[in-house]
Amino acid sequence: MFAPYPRKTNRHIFALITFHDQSTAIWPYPRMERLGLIESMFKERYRKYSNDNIVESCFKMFLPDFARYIARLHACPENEPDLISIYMFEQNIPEPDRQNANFEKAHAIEPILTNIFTYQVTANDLKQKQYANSNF
Amino acid sequence: MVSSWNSFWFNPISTRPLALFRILLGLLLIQYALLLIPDFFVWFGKDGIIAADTINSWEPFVRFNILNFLPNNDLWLVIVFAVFIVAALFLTLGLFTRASSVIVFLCLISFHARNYLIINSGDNFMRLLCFWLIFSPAGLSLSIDHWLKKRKDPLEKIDPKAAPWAQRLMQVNMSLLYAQGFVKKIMGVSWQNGSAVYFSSRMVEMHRFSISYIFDHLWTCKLLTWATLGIEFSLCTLIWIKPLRYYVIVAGIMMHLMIDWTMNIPQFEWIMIFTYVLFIEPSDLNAFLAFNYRHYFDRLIQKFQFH
Repeated sequence: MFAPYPRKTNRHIFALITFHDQSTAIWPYPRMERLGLIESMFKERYRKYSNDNIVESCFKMFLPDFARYIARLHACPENEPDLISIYMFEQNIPEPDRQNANFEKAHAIEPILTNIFTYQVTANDLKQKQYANSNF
Repeated sequence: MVSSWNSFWFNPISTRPLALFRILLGLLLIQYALLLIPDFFVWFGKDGIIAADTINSWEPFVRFNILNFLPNNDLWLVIVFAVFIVAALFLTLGLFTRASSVIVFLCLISFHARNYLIINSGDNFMRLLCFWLIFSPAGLSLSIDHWLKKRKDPLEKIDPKAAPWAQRLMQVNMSLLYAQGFVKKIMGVSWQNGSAVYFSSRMVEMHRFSISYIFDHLWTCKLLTWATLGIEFSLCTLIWIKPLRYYVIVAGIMMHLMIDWTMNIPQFEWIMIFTYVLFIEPSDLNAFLAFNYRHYFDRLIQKFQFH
C-alpha cells in the first residue's frame, strides 16, 4: 500500500440500489474517517476490502458477489431490489506546495465519481439468508 | 565458517525470548479474533460478501483451507473459529504448545484463504510466524507445559536451552520483510523525493491522531520519509550487529509507535514490535525479568509518603 509509492488519492465507495418499483436507496459503505477510534479498529477490514482491493481491476471477479451481498441486505418481499450499482468517489491528494513549504496552501481537487459495477439482481440471488448487521 | 554457521542455527540458547514472543503473539491472535467477531459472517459466512465457491474458483489449489473439507455452513465456521480462539489462548498460556500452534496455524491459514481481500501484510507476517512457531521450542519456558514438567521432575531446568533454528528463521523472515519493504520503497519516486509521508498523512481513511506541525511542513515530512527508509534498512542489516542491535530496535519501535499513533492499521505495528523480542539476548531478558521491581516500587512509594 505504501510501496513503491503511497496511494495519492482518497477514495470511498457506496452502492445505489434500484428497487422493483423504481425507487432508489443509497447504501453507505462504512467509512473509517466517520467512525470513532474503537469502531474504526473493528471496521478497518471494510477499508481494506474496498479501498485497497475490490475497486482494483485485478479483483473485479469478486464484484458480482459483492453486489449480490448488497442485494441480500436490501431484500424485501414487497419491493425487491432490481439493480445494484457500485460507485467510487475518488479525489486526488494535492501535490505539496514546495515553494512555500506549507502544505496548508495546497488546493483541494474535485472528486471523480466512477461507476465501477452494475448488477441486475435475479430472484435466485435473494433466496439466501442475509446477515446484515450480523453479530454473534 | 562452518562452525559459525552451525553455532548460529544449532547451538542451544535460552528459550525465554522465544517464549515471551509466543505469549505476545498469542495475545495478538486473540485480539485478531476479537476484532473479527462483529462482522464475522460478513467476511466468512455462507452468505457473506464473497461466496466460498467464488474464492475457490480463482487460483484453485493454491491456498489451503480446512473449511473446504467441512460442510459449507455457518455452524462449522463458528466451530472452527471457536477452536481457533481456544488454541490461541492455549498457545498464549503455553498449554499443549506444539499442538496449539499447529491448530492456530491451520485455522489462521484457512480464514485468510476464505477471504484474502481483507488481509494485510501484518496478517501475512503473523501467519508466517505461526508457521515457524510450530517447529520451535516455544513451550519450553514461561509456559504451563514447563510448569507441569517441573512439577513432575524437580530437576527440570528453570531456563531450558534448545537449538534456535526456528527462532533464527523468524528473525531472518523479519529481516527479509524489512528488506523487501526497503527495496520496493526506494524504487518509488515519492520515497526518493521525500513526499511519501506527506501523501500517507493525507489519506483520510487511515487517520487516527494528527501531529499537525510535523505533517504540515516539508522538511519534517522529508525527514520522516528518509528516516523510515533508514530505519527499515537498519532493521534488515544492522540489527544483526550485536553492539548496534538495541539502538536499531529502539529506532524501529519509535517508527512503529509513530505510525500506530497516526494511522489506523490495527495490529500491524505491534506484530513488528513484538518480533523484536526474538532479537533480545537471553541474558538481557533474564536480567530484565529478574530485576527487583518490588524493591524499587517500595522505595518510590516510601519517597512519596515521606514528601
